[in-house]
Amino acid sequence: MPHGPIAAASRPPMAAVATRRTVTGNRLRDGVPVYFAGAGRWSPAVAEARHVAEAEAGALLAEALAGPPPHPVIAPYLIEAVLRDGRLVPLGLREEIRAFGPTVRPAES
Amino acid sequence: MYRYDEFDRRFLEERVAQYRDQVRRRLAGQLSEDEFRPLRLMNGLYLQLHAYMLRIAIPYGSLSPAKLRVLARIARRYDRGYGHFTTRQNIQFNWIKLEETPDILAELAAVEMHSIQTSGNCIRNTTADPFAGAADDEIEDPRPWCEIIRQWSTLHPEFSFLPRKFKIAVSAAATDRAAVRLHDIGLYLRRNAAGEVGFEVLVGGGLGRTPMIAKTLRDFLPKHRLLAYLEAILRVYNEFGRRDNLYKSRIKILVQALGIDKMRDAVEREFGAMGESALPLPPATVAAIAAHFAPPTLAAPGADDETELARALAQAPALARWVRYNVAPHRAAGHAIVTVSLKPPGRPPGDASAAQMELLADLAERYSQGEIRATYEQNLVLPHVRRRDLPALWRHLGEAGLATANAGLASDIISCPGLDYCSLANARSIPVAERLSRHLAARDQEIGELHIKISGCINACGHHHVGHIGILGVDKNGEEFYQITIGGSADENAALGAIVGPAVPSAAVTGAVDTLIGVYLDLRREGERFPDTYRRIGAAPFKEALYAAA
Ligand code: HEM
Ligand code: SF4
Repeated sequence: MPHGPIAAASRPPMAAVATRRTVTGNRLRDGVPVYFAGAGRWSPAVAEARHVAEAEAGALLAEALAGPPPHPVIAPYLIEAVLRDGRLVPLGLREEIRAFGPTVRPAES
Repeated sequence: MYRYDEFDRRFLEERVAQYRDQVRRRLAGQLSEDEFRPLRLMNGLYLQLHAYMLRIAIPYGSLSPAKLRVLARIARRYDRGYGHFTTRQNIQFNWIKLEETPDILAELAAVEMHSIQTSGNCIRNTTADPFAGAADDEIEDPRPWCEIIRQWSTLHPEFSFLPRKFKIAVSAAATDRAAVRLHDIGLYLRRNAAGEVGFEVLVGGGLGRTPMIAKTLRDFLPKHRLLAYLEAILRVYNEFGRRDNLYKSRIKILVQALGIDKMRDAVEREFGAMGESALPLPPATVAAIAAHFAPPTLAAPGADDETELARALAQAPALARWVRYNVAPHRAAGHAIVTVSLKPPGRPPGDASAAQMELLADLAERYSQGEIRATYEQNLVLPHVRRRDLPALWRHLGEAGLATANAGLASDIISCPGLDYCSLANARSIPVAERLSRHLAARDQEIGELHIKISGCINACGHHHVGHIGILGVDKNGEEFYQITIGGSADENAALGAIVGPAVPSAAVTGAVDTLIGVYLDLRREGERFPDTYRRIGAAPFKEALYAAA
């Protein structure tokens, strides 16, 4: 069975919770999923992501995309997220798994 | 094992240097992602959900201890301590950093490995029977032919931009352990009425969105004409295969559109036009390549080998069980082929840790003439083990969690990475496999041979279409659902499974599989495997059991 944050997030969002928008992408040098934290900063922690209402999403993406090459993040894009107990959780299982890692324990090394 | 010549070595070194410069330019912002993506893919580097993924070719599934140790080193040094063996006899590393990939490729090149042609619309790694050169049911070792195909297809200028990817598999045995009929081209070495050995050539197999079983294009092709005939097929495909629609671009769609007879006419016409002398394979050339695969010198069994083994088996039921399922007959007296299961119950199928890989490299040196094979069923094989050594080998394997006695049984599940890693996935595969294998392991012996195969999307990397029980992850309004097929098979009697009914939610998969197995156990006759029972009684009893209760 799904566990941890996955279990919580794969529940459909409650209509009452307003969805937020945040920008993510995979970091160029190592492929790690990162979130736009504002002021040119990107963080692997979704908790540090800047999030805005839908109306401001375009501006947030434009800000995230700005800057001279090489952009540190490959093809940044907007995702939906919700605040759950004050914690930002991306919507959808795919983004959930990107944010919190595989739901399976890899082989012991 | 085949050894590179000076040309191969220099080429690989130059290729790594070239790639190192491409990565440098990408990181410096001189190449955009659009410019760089095709370059990294040409070197087997994908971007997945959590990191880059590097796919490394294991030519026809053959590994030496030196190669396996380098894979272990890569796992430990550049990844998170493990690798994933795939259904294409390749290995994938899931946690790779772009900036480290040039060093990884350099380490691979030092042991004659690379990631070239593991992506893109070219001829991919040729796969083979993992028991090649050891099986008691094979006509001859198919690996020299795989190597000939490898040399011909590597960097073939005419076939570097095919309409779509192209996969070839070769087997020379009565039992098909290479899923030959699921490949774009399948080759079976056969003996004709005159006693000569040649190829039965099949074409148009493939899984994915439109699964198809390959059809016979030629019953018997003289061996020395192999490359000319392959070239003729590829030319016909290159010219007539569709490039306008990604979903219709595989050769299977061309074969379906033309019909096998017209396809044959087109290939034979091209083949005839090439002339007898095209792409010659003189006996001396073939012999020189075959010499790299000379059978190992195996000691004659000792007089008391079998009594010793029998004594050990009698003392340890767990050993006896492992020998029963994971040990296959070898062509040489007193020897055996050992399947090392990478399917411990409740764990991700096909994963091996660095320590496990290193141990297997050591054990291969000590017990298996320095040979290791990867199987499309995501296990490893030690092909040349003296029967007397089986108890000792089993103990060593057991200490590293590698002695699971389930080869070919219900808990020996094939699974693609699914949504835990793969950016194309609709649903997770590995957790489903884990739950199933944990649940079924205790009943493995009662159930007997059963092939469960799981894919996280319609691309079918986990071969679900040809599972005795196949499981396909689908996305229903953001929820993971699984569509179940039954009656598929990947062997010499390959067949596509039939969908039993509406997809079930994730939590219901284990129960559904249990129900299907229950019907099989109730209705099977002596000696029938799951697909045999299915073919005899049809889908109705399975459907009824599954959906009537609901
Ligand atoms: C980054 C991860 C992967 C990507 C992007 C990917 C992509 C694809 C795609 C697009 C297809 C469908 C091809 C078609 O229908 O024309 C496919 C098929 C296939 N892939 Fe993968 N795959 C991935 C991982 C794997 C893994 C992990 C395995 C082995 C476990 C694998 C083995 C296969 C096989 C056996 C097929 C079906 C055979 C066929 O080509 O018809 N792939 N893959
Ligand atoms: S079948 Fe789909 S989910 Fe699984 S590895 Fe292939 S592309 Fe990814």
